[in-house]
Amino acid sequence: MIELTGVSKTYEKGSTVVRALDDVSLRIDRGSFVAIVGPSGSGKSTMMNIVGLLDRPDAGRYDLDGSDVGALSSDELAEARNERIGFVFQSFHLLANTTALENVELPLVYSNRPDISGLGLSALERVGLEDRAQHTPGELSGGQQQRVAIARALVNDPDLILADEPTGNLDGASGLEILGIFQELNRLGKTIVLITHDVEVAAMADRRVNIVDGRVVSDEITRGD
Amino acid sequence: MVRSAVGSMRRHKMRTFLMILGTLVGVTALTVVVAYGQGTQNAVLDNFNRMFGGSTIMLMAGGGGRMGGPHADGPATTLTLEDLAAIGAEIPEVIASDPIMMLGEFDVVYEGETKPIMITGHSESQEIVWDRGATSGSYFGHEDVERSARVAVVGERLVTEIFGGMDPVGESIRIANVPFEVIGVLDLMGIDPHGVDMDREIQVPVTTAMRRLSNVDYIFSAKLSVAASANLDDVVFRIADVLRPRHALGPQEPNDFQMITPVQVEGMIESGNRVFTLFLPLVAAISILAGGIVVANLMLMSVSERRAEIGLRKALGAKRRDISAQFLLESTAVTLFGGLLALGLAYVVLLAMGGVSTVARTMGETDNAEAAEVALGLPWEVALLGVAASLAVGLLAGVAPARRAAALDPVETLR
Repeated sequence: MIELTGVSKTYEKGSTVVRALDDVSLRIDRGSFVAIVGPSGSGKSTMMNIVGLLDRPDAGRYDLDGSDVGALSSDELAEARNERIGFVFQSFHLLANTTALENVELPLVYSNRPDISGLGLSALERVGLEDRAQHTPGELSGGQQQRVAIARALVNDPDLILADEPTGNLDGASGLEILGIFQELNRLGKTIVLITHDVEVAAMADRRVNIVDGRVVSDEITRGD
Repeated sequence: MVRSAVGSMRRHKMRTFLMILGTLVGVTALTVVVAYGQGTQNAVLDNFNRMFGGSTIMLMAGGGGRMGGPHADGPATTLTLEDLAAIGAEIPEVIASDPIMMLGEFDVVYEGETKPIMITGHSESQEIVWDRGATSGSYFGHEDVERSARVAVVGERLVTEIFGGMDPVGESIRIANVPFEVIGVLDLMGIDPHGVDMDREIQVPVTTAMRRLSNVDYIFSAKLSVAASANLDDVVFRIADVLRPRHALGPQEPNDFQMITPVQVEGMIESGNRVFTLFLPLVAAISILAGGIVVANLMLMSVSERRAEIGLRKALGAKRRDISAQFLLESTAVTLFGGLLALGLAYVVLLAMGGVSTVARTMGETDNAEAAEVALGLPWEVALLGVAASLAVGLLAGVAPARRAAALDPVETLR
């Protein structure tokens, strides 16, 4: 469960101060599928960085699964990212000239889990790409690359999947396929936070949070289960 | 972790190649120079030990100057055969003494052909003191020295050079127009520390050298064999005590002779070899430094090229130390590989250099290069030094890039 309370974040760009998040409070329950929607520059990427423990807020408090993450050291944050959060990026961020399987196994390199054999392959199975395990990203289509990235996000079995414009670089059909995977994962219990500027993509989620100029301007349930 | 380092080396072949090259040059230079210097120094020391080894004292006429070097006031004329006899009589620890007359080159004529050859006068004690006898025929004896016999023992190389390869024993030669009979061929000896090829000399009785070839009544120097149990420094003092009254030296006057022991000689060689033990390794160290700078720069380049990868790894849970370990491991693996290649290359270079005369080149001019061949190899401690140097280059060159990589902010790099 994610709980942001009065979170603010400002950046200095040259001489001007950009208020990326302005006193945002938001609660995302375990097992929900939330879309965070806003135009570019609205602060949704900053939101993703803070929720993903890649950045710290200047003010406010962030509780993840009931504990304040502001108290964690940067090593503890890295550990938490490794164990509790799966990232999916717009540009996939797969290592070139490295097989799909090795890419999927990358989080395991930094994991403390004692037995990691077979986890990479079973993650690839979950996205239907076990037969592409030895292919490099260059040999895969965009949709397949994003599925490899999702398998990588799943390999450590985190509760939370954070996806930043995951369909932004894909054609319509591949995008739908990816969103279908997210829905399936959500149905199996994962918390999905999807960041997008695309209203149609956001429509796949159960709840839509609109951000403009660093503030939450609307928060609505779009689909009741 | 290791696999990902190897993977990264494979992905960036050109950069890896350049980093290996940077290490290769420096480490090869270092190992070759150190092994070469060591081999040469050992060869020179071996040579000295053969010449002056064991319990011996070199006694030279003239004070002040070093090792019989040229003296401003002409040759020292004070050391005589009688001095040696007195030393032998008064100091029982001196087992044998060989007087030496280094006469320089004389015209030697055999069957109408003239060649300039080094002529040296010795006594029959030479056989004991230098442990050098005759391979063919025999060395001259006490009687030959007593009566200034016109007999000669020739160096091995002269057998081919003068006598066309045939056994010269019994042949007649003329040295400075004085007829001599060849009675033996000397054991092989090699090049002396001054670069003189001792297998290209002719030895004659010292008295013959004094009276028939140069008409003097003094000797230049002598090599004394001392009992192994004796204290060399003590014997040196006692020899001075014998010689000073014989030469009528007052208490304020300096010695008109000097003595050198093997211990002093080794010190001289070591200081003479500074070019190998100090200067060249310094040059090699600079080339390693240059290689290290190349590696460090390529690693920094690698860090900025791979910002996205670093950011991704951090997002996926890599801690700062994971990232710096990865880059240190990469730079060290590359330089270690380069260092191992360098050892192979150094070995080949040293083998090729083994054929070159190193002693001759360090100690003086000679046209008999092959006589001074030095066995050059790659001693294990030098190889170890090479490995340590490449590891050090990898670690030191990797520190700054690794720190920079570890400090990267994933928020910035993942955009």
